Amino acid sequence: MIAHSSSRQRILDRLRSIPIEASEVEPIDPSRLVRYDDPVAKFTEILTLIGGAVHEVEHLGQVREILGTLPEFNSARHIASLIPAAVEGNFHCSQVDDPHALATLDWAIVPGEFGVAENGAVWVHPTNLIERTMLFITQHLAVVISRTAMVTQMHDAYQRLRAAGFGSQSGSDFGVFICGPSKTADIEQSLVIGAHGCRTMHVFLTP
Amino acid sequence: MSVALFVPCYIDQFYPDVAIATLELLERQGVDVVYPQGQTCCGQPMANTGCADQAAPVARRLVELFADYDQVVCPSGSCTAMVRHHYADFFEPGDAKYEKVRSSTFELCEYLVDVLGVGSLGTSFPHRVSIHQSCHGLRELRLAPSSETRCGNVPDKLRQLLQGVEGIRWATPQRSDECCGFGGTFAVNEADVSVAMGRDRIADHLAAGSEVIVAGDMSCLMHLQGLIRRSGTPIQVMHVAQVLMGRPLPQPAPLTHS
Amino acid sequence: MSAHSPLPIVLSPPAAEDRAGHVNSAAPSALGHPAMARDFVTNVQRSRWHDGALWFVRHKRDVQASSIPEWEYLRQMASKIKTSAIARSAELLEQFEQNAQRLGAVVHWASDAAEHNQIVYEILHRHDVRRLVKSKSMLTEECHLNGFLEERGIEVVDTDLGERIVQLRGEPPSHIVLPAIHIKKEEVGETFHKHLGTEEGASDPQYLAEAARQHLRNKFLRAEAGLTGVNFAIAETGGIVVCTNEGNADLGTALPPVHIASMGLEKIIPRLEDLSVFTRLLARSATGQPITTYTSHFHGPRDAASELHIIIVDNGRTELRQSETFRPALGCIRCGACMNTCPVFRRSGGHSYGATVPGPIGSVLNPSNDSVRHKSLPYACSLCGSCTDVCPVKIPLHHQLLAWRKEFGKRGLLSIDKTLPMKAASLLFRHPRLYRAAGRIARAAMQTLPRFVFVNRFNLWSRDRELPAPPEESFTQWYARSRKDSGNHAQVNASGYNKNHRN
Repeated sequence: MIAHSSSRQRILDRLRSIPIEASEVEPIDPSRLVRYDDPVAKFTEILTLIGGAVHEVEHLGQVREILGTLPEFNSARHIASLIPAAVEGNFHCSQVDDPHALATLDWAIVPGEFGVAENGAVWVHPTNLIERTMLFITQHLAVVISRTAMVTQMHDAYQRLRAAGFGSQSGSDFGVFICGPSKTADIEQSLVIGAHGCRTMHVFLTP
Repeated sequence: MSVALFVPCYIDQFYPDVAIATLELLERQGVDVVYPQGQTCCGQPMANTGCADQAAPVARRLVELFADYDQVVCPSGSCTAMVRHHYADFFEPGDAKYEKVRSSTFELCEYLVDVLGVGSLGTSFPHRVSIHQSCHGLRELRLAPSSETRCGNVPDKLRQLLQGVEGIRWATPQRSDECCGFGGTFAVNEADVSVAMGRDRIADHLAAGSEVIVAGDMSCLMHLQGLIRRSGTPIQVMHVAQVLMGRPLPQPAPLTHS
Repeated sequence: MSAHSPLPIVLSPPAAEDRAGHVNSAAPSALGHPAMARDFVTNVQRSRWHDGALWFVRHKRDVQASSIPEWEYLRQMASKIKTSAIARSAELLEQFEQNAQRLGAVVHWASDAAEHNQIVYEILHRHDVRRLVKSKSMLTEECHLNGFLEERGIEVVDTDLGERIVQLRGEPPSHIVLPAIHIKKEEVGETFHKHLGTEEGASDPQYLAEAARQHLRNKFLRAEAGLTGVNFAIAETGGIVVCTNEGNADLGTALPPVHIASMGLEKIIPRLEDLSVFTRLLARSATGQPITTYTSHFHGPRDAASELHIIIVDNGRTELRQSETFRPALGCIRCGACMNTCPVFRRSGGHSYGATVPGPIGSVLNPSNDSVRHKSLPYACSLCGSCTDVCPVKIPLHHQLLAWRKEFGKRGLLSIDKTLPMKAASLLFRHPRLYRAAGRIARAAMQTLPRFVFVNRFNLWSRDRELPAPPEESFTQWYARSRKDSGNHAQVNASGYNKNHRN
């Protein structure tokens, strides 16, 4: 084995070899940050522009109704739902321990924690590897959040994460901001929706 | 208040009318302008090449020459930026003459707008004009808002002055402040890219319907003019001082003894 | 995990270029940027197409910048956070290591590219990995990791679509965010036909991307390990953040049990909240999107049965940090905005820089690693300053390029064709009589000597441009003649004006 612990020391020594004064960085001044009169409207506007679909629903049952109007939902073979009240899935994640088993997943319906108005992103905090994998391997993704769980911009978002203890747990953890369906413009700058992750992405806003 | 005129070397040698127009502009505002003898160059070509040792004595000469004046005015954003932003290396910290010259050297447009508060000049220039925002004037001296930044309420000093000229009609290129490709020795070291950049600027201004490209730096215009004349493109270039003094649109000059 | 015999310690230096193609390791120190750019920029159609494509990305960035009233405030804060983080690097990296280990990650340190590559290989070898998937990591490009692993029998699949395209074509990426920006869709079609079996002649991006999706899905599912870069490493939590639009970093790390994350040591930031500033600036600056599709926060390995290895890499970064002038360049978040806005990059293409990271930031970073090989790069710049104005962390890029030129001057690296004219010019400028005489001679020569003396293919100015028409007299001559002893300075001298007014 290479003794790269010596590299560690070498690097740290070099970093300490010259005194560089570090000035205190003042906290972000909230009065300088953008505010929206209607964050939900802003969120909807941005996510729709990006290629996601936003649906305001009065109750979870409407999620199934709306999805039922989509041919790609009706023809789906494997649907995993972490919110049975919204959609009854036919793919039971609790019985799966190998993420590879999710390879044929068509739909994943999952809960989000909150949305971010300025960029149309939703914070999703899966509790295990299977819930995490389904977010990316599924062909189509639906995320359900409460419309009251909407922050304005990323500063508020990270403060919310701080308050929720993200990053300060003792065990490993994973969280992701998801904004719209996966995409690429790598072929002559033509936007193609559905790169490696989901091809469509829906956000349902409950009361 | 003693005001000295600092004439960039290439204007002195190749575009004297730009300096004449500058002089006339200032004098028309009642400024008693002195042209200190023996001035040559600000040292930028040497500094930009990396030859600090060659630039230093030239810079020190300039400071020596201009230190006795209260204000120095220069019809070039890039030479002014050189003095204000890139001279520190050539002087000891706290050098009084350097500090004086650095804080009292103005580019022409900023002098007219900020110091003299010039409004309308009473000149007429009935032509379609497009502005080329020379990079140093734009991004070093902030003579206008750059398209990249969002600083809010940065006035465009060139445009402001030109708006005081009667008869001007505006043509607006697609790219408001892309570099013309002169870049000093860049024009020769990276000739292919320099020429491509210049041609694209000209095409942009031409497509906007401009008769004349106006800028605060004659160096940009010298490069564009070189391309224009070689290709016979029907567009002219003029320095802002010339337009402000109501010079007639130049006639296309014959190619160098062809 | 099975036991292995100790690995032979093979610290071969990274291959100069492990992929055949535009960057030829044999010649680069002889060829500078102008020579490497020539074919691209003089192919007017191609150059304009490339320029237009990147200008559009710059334009989208502008639209995003306009949508955030506090845009400049964010840039200021980003600059401050990075400046402070760079200063506190040692403390923050130790804090990061401690927290990452607490979460169950293994933290490695690599002094240089060779060591990084060896560490990656050891991890893979220990797990018997033959199939690795990678998401975009400019650091691993810099270390020439792919070739190193391939030589040792490991299949490396770049899963970012642009990276996969250039990988299949055997070329290096030409842009750090848009690796295939120099490639037309017909060319992608040819490559995919050859390697993925798509229809011959097909060039529809949707069709081609779908083929890539299926092909790469297969690779994700069969991968035995996944390697990602790190956009941000958070000292106080020990977590790492990876931003993608495609979801490839996530698929590549959710499926296989081993995740290797390679990070340049400058990616460290102090606190979770600091991410707010960077996640608001990164995608807006890079591609003109409000945020990347996925902003994934990895805190420790995916589960108890898996491994997360984080490799902290120096490879010249501590060297750059020693310099007060160039230290701010370490704040780079690899957004590529400087490339999109650079009029030189847009017209000459990324391969003309002969380095992993091209464009303005590349021209600042590369000379630090090899001044001789990269000495043309700081001159591949008109000093327009647009890069500085778009940089989300406010690196004074064009000033740093100028500073490199001065540094080369000090180190005696400037060629005589640069220094001699400057010595001559300096001499003239210090002796006004000489200068004026030279001017008179030049103007006279331009008026009398035949055209070919000045206009010929050796004169790089007049190859494509006319020289200025020589005026009858200089301003100094005019002033001496018409203003000396003339009392009323306020009067315009009409005869002087007519004679000299010829642009």
